[in-house]
Amino acid sequence: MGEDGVRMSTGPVGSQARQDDVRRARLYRVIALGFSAVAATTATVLLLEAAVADGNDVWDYARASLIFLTTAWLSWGAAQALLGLPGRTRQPAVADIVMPQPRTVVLVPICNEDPVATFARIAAMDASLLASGVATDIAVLSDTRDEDAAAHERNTFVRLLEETSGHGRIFYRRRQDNRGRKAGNIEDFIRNSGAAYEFAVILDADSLMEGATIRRMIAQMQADPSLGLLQTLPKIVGAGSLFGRAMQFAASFFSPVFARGLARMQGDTGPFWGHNAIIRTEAFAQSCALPPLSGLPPFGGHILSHDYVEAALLARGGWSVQVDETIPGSFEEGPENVLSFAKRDRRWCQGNLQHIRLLTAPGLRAWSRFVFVQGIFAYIVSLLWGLFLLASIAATVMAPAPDYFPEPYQLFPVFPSDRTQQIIALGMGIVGLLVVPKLGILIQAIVTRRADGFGGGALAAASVLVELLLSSLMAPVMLMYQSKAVLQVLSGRDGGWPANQRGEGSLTLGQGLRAGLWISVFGAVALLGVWQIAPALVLWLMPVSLPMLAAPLLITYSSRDIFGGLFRTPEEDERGTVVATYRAIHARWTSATATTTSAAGDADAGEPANVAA
Amino acid sequence: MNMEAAALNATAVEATHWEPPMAPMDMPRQILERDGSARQGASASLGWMSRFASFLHLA
Repeated sequence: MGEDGVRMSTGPVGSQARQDDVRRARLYRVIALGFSAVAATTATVLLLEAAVADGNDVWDYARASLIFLTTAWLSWGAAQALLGLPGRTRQPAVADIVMPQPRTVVLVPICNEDPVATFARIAAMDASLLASGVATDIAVLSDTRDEDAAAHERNTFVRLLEETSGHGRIFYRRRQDNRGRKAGNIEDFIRNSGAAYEFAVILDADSLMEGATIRRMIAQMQADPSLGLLQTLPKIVGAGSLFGRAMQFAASFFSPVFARGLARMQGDTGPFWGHNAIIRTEAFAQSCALPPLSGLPPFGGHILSHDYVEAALLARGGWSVQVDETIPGSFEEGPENVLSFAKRDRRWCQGNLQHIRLLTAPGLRAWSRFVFVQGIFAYIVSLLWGLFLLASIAATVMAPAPDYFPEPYQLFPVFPSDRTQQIIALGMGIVGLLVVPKLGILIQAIVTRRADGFGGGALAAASVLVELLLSSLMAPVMLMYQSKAVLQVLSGRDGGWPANQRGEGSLTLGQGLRAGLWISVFGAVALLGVWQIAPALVLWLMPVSLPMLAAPLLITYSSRDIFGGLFRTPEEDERGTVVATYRAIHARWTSATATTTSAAGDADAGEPANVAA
Repeated sequence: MNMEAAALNATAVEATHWEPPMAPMDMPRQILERDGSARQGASASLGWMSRFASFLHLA
């Protein structure tokens, strides 16, 4: 036990290389924080200068405070991208696994998932692992509560065992209660079976990893005994809608640079995103048994966003946590429309806001606390942007009428100085913080020929421009969803842990209307109100209000397969990958199921069932 | 083997040999909240905030 009664592991002693990494990370942090502070201060000064013409009042100071916070957040994201732009100069050679192979298990926690798709992925990964010469076990950890769904899981598992000859190395167990959700599910496995394995690869139900990738991750863990967790950057595959393909493109084109910047800043206090990562079982067991928080949800109870907390606890225990964006062959699926995204985001919002309770957790590294603050701010910032717009309207409405003759017996009027220049500079600065990092990534990709994998420089540029346009149009809609989620959590509403809805795609206009009409109504009322009380602001509010008015259309049509030629990614060429193997197995299993269903129908009609072997 | 045949076998096959090997590992419960007044202070603040925002009754 360490100080404050905190259980501290006997974590590894840091090597010289690790200490160098930590020193460099501190420098990067100072640069990023300094950049954010300068940008935020500049925005605040510009705003106050623009407002000084009619005298600064309480509304001006309110919106100045809000612009400081929101610009600091934007700058922080931009700094992360800019820090990630230079490629890795030191690319250490990746050693192979040291023999004998360490006992490793691939964990697939599931809860009410489609078992045919999930187990087809496992069959594909098992084939890839065998082809890579890696001997691992695979454990399906089911938290499914519905008995029919569980029976379907069991039936499909039998098929998985038969097809892979996986008896004795592919396991399935279902918990009697799903205490602690996913984190509790993993914990239950480690408590009961952890001593059998040196490493565990943690996946999601929609994860796919190449066998060679897992082999490399095991080797990296062996090479650095202080490494407690190694996170990969999963690429999104299988997207079909405009929304999904834009996310898939962003994850493949932008995310590696953002992740490299993040890795540089975080050093050995890196992130854990809950899946597509490998853990050292001993480190995880020593550090990551999460207690439920006192009180009721949404702030009490089980920790929802457990991954951030587990990363912080590993760092508290003296273990290194790192993200390596260069590891290829790590995949996941993403939401196909705004509704699926918002549903997932609601859960993440509650989980991140719950971290307010952990800011003062004993013994955490300062950077881990800062990461919690970032996660909280990622959701609070939507509310702050909304408050900034309200404060700006209030400041305009409350501003005193201009006094053209401030002095008695003044012969000529004094016109207030035009501050449009400051407002335009402020607007351009904010747009620049959003656009420049992405343009920087585009230029770098063209120069280094990375863009070739995205259809060439011209197609990559077109994809970036459309992605910028789409994300700008979607931003006010997302702002409304996130603000609603934050207010729901703050008002004490527990969103629970809804099952992931994977593979749902195209929405009808009716579904789009039901999902987005409230945003349109809100936008229309706000626009009418502003038109009544401050008509000069209507034009300025158009970039926010027009997408809000069009929210149902945006939600509906972004779920459709349009602009198909854009957003090409290297991962779309699936030949020879574990993704292609998965698709082949899935197609075979689903067609067999359809055949069987049809045969069963015939049997019901009095015909003998034709059960293919 | 197809899904229908698997369904016929599943009940019979499901047994402890499907489960991962038993190899218990100690996993000490971590301490994340300070006891006493500090925790009560944080909880009280969030409770106050929840009460303040509860009038919203967001759907």
